[in-house]
Amino acid sequence: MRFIPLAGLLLGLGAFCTGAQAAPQNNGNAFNPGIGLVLNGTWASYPTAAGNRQIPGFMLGDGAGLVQQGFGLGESELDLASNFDNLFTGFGALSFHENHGQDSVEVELAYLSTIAMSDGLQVTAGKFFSAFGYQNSRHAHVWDFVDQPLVYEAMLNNQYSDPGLQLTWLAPTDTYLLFGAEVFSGDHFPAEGAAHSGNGANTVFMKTSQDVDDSNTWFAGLSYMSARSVNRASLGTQDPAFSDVSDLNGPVFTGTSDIAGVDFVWKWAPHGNFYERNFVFQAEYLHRSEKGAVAPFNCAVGTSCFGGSLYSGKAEGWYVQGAYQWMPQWRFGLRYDRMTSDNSVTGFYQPASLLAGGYAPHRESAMIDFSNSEFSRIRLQFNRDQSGPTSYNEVFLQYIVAMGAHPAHTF
Amino acid sequence: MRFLKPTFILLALCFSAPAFADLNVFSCEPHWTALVNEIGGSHVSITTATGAYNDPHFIQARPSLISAMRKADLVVCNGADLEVGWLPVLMQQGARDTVQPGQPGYLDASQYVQLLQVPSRVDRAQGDIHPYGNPHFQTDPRVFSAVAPELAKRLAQLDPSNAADYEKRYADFKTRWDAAVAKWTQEAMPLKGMKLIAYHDGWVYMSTWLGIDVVGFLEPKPGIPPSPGHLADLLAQIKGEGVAGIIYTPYEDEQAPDWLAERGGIPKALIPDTVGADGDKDLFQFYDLMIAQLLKLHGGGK
Repeated sequence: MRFIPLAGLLLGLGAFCTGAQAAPQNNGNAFNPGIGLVLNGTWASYPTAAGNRQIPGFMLGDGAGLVQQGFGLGESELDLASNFDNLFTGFGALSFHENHGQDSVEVELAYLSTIAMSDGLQVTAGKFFSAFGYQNSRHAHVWDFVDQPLVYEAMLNNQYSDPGLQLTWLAPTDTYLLFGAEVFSGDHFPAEGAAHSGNGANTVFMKTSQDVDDSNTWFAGLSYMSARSVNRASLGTQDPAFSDVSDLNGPVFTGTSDIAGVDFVWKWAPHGNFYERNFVFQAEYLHRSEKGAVAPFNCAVGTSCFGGSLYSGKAEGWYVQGAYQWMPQWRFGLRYDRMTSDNSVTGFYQPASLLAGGYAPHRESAMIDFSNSEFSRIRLQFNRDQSGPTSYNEVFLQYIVAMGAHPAHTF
Repeated sequence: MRFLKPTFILLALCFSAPAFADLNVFSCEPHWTALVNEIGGSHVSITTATGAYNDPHFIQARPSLISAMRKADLVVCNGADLEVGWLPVLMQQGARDTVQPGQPGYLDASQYVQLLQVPSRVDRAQGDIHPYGNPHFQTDPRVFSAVAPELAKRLAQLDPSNAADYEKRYADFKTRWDAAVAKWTQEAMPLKGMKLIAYHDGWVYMSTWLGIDVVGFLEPKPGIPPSPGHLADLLAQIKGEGVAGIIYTPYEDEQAPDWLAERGGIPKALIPDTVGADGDKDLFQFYDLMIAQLLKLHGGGK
């Protein structure tokens, strides 16, 4: 027997989850959490103008935009995972990246989950990725493309995470059926501002899945998010009509964003043998309605110069993508993104960026990647980016490597 | 040889059986399903996570398995990190308190097996190695002799009303199994000293049991697919060392074994590493098949 019973009990899941060596020792290291480091680096080539991210009809959060030109250290993360005790397990991730010479470190995730309550209930608390949609809770190192789908970039600032609480219930059925709800502080796009009594975003979701046979599995989900914002800033450039108020940013928004999403995933691998060959199809559709006021950056709600206009917007966006691994180590993938918006702004302030004039942002992407092992991947991606009226060609080279303990991946 | 896919694997993979059994068992690999069937009989209904056609290192954490985990009374797995890529997700999301590690509802078979190849140095430059030792121990039937009494004990503990029956079925299995192991060991006597090349380093328990010498692997490092350069090295080894044959499993690509067997002028054999790839319905038939395949290789592939 390799575990002594006590260490087995206490360390069991932690060591088990992380693959860390857990030989009984009598120094303090025995209870160290599983530690993993994921490095994600990119090299990007695109016309400089493309880097000034504008998507007509959409107010973008600060996470939107392309990875920097040339070499860049993308979203890399240091993960810690362990059980706290017999009731709670936890995960912490510090993410760090470098952008135009600025190093930044942020708490990407820090949460605890119940290991096992009874009757399929599970509670998660802390800062975590919302279970909204399919792509939102997936870590950057398991994305099939360098970047998030356009609709995630535009509506969820790439990926929505916030401090909050999640409750899920797994139905006792043969068919996978999960129901969940989340409450969040609402400090991050699409929510913003602390002036909502500490609860600025809520979600509900359900997910279901079935195996069709031993080679095919489908997965589908429905999600709904309601987010409130007070003075939510957006990316943008000086609007010439409002240069007198030093409007160096896009419009600020105060109001509500309600987003509904449908997601569908199909995975195929002959006899479930993913190692040899597999195909993953993924599609999501998001519909958003926003209501509230928009104002120039320096004349937001609460300032004396408030010069807001009434704003009501409807937007939708979808993507379909497929990634095919035709032999061990090698995959290629295609993705198509498309969005439309129908916004009305009533008032003196008429931000040009919100009024798309019927333009439908879209993008075609193709990628090929090589994974020497489970722990390293190199990817080449090409985007034909028409998220704005000018179309740009973008080329990305990316490496993703993982060292140390690495949590198992969800479906 | 044609490997027909028996319908039962398909069913076992996809759906858990009706819920009126006394115990719901979540089995990570088909050989545990077979063992649980021997001892549990009609008292158990079993969901099997992997099949003979997929690599147990690399399956997806399918949501259907999470649903099965949620209802499981007993989880039986090889352990020793074989399932580390997916089982933790199922355990976490299945949210079943009684089958967590350390509970009677979690049977980690590796705890009852003397693991081989425990590395003294752990570095992923060596490939996808297992820090606890080689987890592919189901290729030695004596492993089941070691795990079966614990399984019988757990079943009785979790379902006391049928304890007597589990005990009786275990005693019956033990008698038949001991006889079978003696028979296979006897039949395999001529294999002592036979040299083989395997696809993945998954046969050390079989080779230790039977005195076979696995001298090389198609994978240059565990988890890394065969490369032309490495195959050329193996070819030289075949010529130099008198290798009798090449073995690979149903979930490993046969191109490289084909190429090497043809160039090296030696036979190859598909040898499943778990129950259910070739119409074998239980552990007895699985080992019958393994021994038959090995003897065939020994006879030059005829």
